[in-house]
Amino acid sequence: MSQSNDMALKSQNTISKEELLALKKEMNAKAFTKRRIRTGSRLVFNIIVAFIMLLPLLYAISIAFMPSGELFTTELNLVPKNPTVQNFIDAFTNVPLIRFILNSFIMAGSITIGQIITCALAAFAFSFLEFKGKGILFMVVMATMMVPGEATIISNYLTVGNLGMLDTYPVLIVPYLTSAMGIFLFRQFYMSFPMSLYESAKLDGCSNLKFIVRILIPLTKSAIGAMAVYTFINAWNMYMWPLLVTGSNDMRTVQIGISMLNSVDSQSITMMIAGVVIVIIPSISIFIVGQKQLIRGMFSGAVKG
Amino acid sequence: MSEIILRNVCKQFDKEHYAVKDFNLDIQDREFIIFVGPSGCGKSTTLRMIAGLEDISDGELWIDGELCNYYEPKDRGLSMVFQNYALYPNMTVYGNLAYALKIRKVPKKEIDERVHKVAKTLEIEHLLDRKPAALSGGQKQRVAIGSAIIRKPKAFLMDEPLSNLDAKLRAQMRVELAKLHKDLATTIIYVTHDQTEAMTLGTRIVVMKDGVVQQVEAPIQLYDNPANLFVAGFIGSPSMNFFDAYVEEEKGKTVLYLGDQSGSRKVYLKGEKAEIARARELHKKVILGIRPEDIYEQKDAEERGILEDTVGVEETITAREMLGAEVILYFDKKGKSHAVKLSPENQTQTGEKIRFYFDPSRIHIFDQGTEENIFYREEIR
Repeated sequence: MSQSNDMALKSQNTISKEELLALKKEMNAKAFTKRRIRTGSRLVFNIIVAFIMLLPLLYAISIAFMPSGELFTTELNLVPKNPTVQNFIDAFTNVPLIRFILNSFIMAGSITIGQIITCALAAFAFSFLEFKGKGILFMVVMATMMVPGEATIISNYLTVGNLGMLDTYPVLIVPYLTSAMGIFLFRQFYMSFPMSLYESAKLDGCSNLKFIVRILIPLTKSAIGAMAVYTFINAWNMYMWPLLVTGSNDMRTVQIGISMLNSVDSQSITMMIAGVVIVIIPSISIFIVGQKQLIRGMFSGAVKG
Repeated sequence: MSEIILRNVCKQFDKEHYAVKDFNLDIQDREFIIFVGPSGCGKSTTLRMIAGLEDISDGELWIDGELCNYYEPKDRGLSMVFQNYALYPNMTVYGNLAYALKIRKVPKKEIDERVHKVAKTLEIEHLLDRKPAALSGGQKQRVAIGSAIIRKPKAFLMDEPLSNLDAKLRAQMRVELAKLHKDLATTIIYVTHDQTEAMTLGTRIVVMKDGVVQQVEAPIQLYDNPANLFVAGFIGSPSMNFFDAYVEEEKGKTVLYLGDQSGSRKVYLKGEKAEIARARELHKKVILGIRPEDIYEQKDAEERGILEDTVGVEETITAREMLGAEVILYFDKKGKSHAVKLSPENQTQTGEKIRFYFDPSRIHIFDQGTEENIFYREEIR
């Protein structure tokens, strides 16, 4: 009895090399399939969710290529049966869409560049310089974020109207050349910036401006990237202000132009959607180009310090 | 040649609160001055005032005969090494070293020469193309020092430059800093809270507490001749032991009763120290200070001929630290911990009793009220 027990123990304790290898292989295979199944199911789930979220956009693109007759049928038409680019041609010929796109680019580009410059400078002052009333001034700047844009739009309109600026590029750009949000964003970034770098630069003989250009900006590229994408898309999508202050086709931005495609007499949904698709291309492409910066900018403070 | 003079320099944050008060110091050319003190004592603030990073609230700062209170930092001709190195992360090591010269519009060829020379001195030549992120702590420290020395400043200011390094590297850099000071032959003002750095590097040490200078002295004088209780306790590790004591006269000899007036535990003073103590503090309560290495066990006391001077000091050991070259025994007295440094042959274990003997020539006596060392002699300098 005890002998057999001993034998069993012995066989349990000693495993041959081949057995060990086989065991390892088996365990590995099990774990591998388990992991594969997990990754696969996650992928499938994500694809489904992404499809649901993108459905309106994909459907819009599909409609843009549909002849207008196909849209108004009793069957469900998700994909155009006879794809056509006629809608796009109509959109371009009905309104000066190219001019609108150009206007929008000029406006959004100027606003973006202007905001980056002013916000970076203001944020530098708020985080690196010492002056009297710094805290109060910063609070005043922050307070402007609490005032909704709609509340000031009339008085702003009257101001620019009296200045005789209506229907020009400056009237589209100047009121948006700085933003409290941007100042706040940059300041948050600069707060995590080591003060000793600034002091060291000062001892090296660096002026404030040189410090900003040579050291601060290169080191906060991700913040600038995030800010640029955010500002550009916001400016591109602006509707209320351009509608109010522009009157001629020469100055209108693309968002107004799209609404001009909607004519009461001859409404063509497919053509309007085609116009919308054209208009969202720039903002989507900006986002694709800048998304890395945007995400890095949002999280860099937390991870890198 | 650089001489820095501080006259009654003050830093006031608000009406009541002084960060630095009446700071007076003459720094000679080629001195290695150390500011040392507990955190919040104003040593960094003083350094930053010299650098020009903080305004001087009151007093005068003279650098090479020029009143520099209102000079911009870049015009003072000083360079600074920061605790966190302050290297520009977007530039390579070469760019970091060259930057200060570039701003000063030094010709490119000269910049190149100087960068390579400094890199060679600090043995960082192979790192010139790297960015700071790809360097280790010690290498970053070298680059930081390099970018300070490349400008050939009148003086270097160093704000705890070694405190981010690990212990071994710190010891190594300490030796190199001492060597660098010798090679460069310039003035260095160095802030630290590490007294080993202070003792090993400084030609003179400024001990500060609550914004006030306590004592300015060469390291060994500071150690042997502390001006007051604070300096005595701050310099030295383990720190000086303090006992409550009474100065009394016994058969014509000056004697210190330890603890109570019963006289069962006492130390006889000799020579000049006895006379000063009798003259100044007879029948008064004082604080006796003695360093851990000036307390002996019986055998060593016999050899030194001090066996008869201490009576009845027998203590129970509460902790024992074996450091290899020496052993440190701790005992508690009225809630205060005391340390004794003995040779490692001593085998007294925790909980055992041992008899100690004080070297009376190494005893310090501090006035209970003013906390001044009654044996302190200023002219020793």
